[in-house]
Amino acid sequence: MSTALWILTIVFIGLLMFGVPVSFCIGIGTLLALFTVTPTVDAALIVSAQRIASSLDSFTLVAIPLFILAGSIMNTGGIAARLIDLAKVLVGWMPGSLAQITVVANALFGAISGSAVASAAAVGSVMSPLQRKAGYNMPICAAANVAASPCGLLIPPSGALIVYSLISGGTPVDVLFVAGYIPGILMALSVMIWLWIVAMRGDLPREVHRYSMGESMTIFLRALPALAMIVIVMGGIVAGIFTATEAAGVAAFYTFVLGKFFYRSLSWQTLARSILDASVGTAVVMLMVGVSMTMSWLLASTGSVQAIANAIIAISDNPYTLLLMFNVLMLLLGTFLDITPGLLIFTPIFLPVAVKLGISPVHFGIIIVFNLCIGIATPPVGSTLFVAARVSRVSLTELTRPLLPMFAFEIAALMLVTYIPALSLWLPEVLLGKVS
Amino acid sequence: MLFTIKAALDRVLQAALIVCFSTLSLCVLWQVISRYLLNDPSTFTEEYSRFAVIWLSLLGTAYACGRIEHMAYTMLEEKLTGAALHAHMRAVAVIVLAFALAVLIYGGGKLVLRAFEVEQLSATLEVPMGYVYLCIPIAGVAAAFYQIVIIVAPGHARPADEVEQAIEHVEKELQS
Repeated sequence: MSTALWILTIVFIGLLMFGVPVSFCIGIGTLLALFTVTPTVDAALIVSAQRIASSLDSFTLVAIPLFILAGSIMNTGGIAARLIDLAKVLVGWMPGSLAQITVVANALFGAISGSAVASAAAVGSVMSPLQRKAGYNMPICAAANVAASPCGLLIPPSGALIVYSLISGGTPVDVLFVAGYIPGILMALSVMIWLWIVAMRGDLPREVHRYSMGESMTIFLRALPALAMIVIVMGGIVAGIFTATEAAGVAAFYTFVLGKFFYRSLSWQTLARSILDASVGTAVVMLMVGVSMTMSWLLASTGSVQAIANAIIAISDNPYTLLLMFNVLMLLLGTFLDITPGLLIFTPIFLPVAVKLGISPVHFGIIIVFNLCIGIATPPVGSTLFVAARVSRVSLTELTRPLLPMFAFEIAALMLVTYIPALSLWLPEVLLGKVS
Repeated sequence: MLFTIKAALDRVLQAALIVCFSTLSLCVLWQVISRYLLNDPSTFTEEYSRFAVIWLSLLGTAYACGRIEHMAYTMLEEKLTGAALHAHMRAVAVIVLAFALAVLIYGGGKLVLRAFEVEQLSATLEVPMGYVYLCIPIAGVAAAFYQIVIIVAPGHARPADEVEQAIEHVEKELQS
């Protein structure tokens, strides 16, 4: 290993453990490593500053603040309640219905709001009083809320996939978005299958909720304006009407019009707060993107990436073995790394190996995001865990045990997605006529 | 005194962020409208929105420093209380301050000066790139100031908690 790589690794891990914000850990580690490469101290400082700005100079990235803003506005004005009602109609007929509804509502609301934490909070706080009243096992319900909360991050529009597009060197966002559908739905299905089994074993109530045609229609119409955002965004992208970035702009405008003039729930004050929250959310991600792109540039230019890739291939050059190793490693690291830093740190290291072994960058992107999605719901670190426990009023310890089989089912879904590339690549092939 | 300045700086950054974000949104929207409705694709929108995102990200970085919102692992911090916790917060603030001073203010400042010196212009709008990079030292000064506030009065700084925020938000939603 080169000196630069040693410095970077040690400084990064040291500062991270000490509690310095992740972006600054990456930035400082990269800067100190740069000192060994650049001729003068001045040059390293100027390059560090310039790389942060120039890494962000991308029209693809413009989509991130706009989707965050759309999600932030969508998280107000009772949109969550409408989507939960829709989930009731969709899966209310299943055994363990109130837990199944939690899963589907998370997939719907997570995709629209783009935040697993917001989704777990909104869905959990609406569903848990109902579940408690119907005599449901609360730890199982809270665990279902945790396990399902990241599904929406894989289902487009997905900020994580935009970040991956950039860090992977321009994998098309439209292909990634469409590729995320089946894996995201599989993730939700895996939890639902387990809940079905639990209900059949008698650990969850089996009485079901059925709705008449008229009721279903009313509920669907009430949820339609929120669903329309996804239809506009994805329809527009698939039909080639606009790029993902333009779709994000249209989505932000649509949510504004919806909140301001249709639901009339969005005051100027709420809008300003939504914008500021979205600014902070954007900045936190963007600073991380900026410093990480500098890091990956450093790693590439010092030959470190090549060295790591060769070392990995020396262990095994069988793609199946390597993908298994990769999944195990990402699941372990994912337990304490959030999605964005996980993507930014590990894509530059592992993608070159994957490509060398003939794995498509789109497929690899879906695998890595799927891994990190499972990771954000696992103990010990995970905001969704704390949120779900709080809103359902169960302790973290109670919640952990019922979570384990759900993770097992999600990991089974991950294995399917890993070893059957068609699950990611078939839909973009059919809808967009391209897979890269 | 320090807190009066902090409140004023918060206000200025908030206003700047709202302007950046609004013009950015309108700009991307205009790109779609001009292409389909006016049949006259606008040329400036793509570059403007890219630059707006750079400003938004850097100023937002500083603003997020003030709200202590940058994602960090708090395993160590959670074990500390009282004086030890304050010492730890000061230490983290000093590290972030060092980065702000060295990279954002010094490195970014030199970058701005150099860009103006060589009269580097952007491709479409032909604005001097110095103005694009100017957000780096500005963000650096603001971020550095927020760290100094933490160092002087760690007792007043409360790191943002994603869990608390989400639950507070939902409770407000359910009431209305």
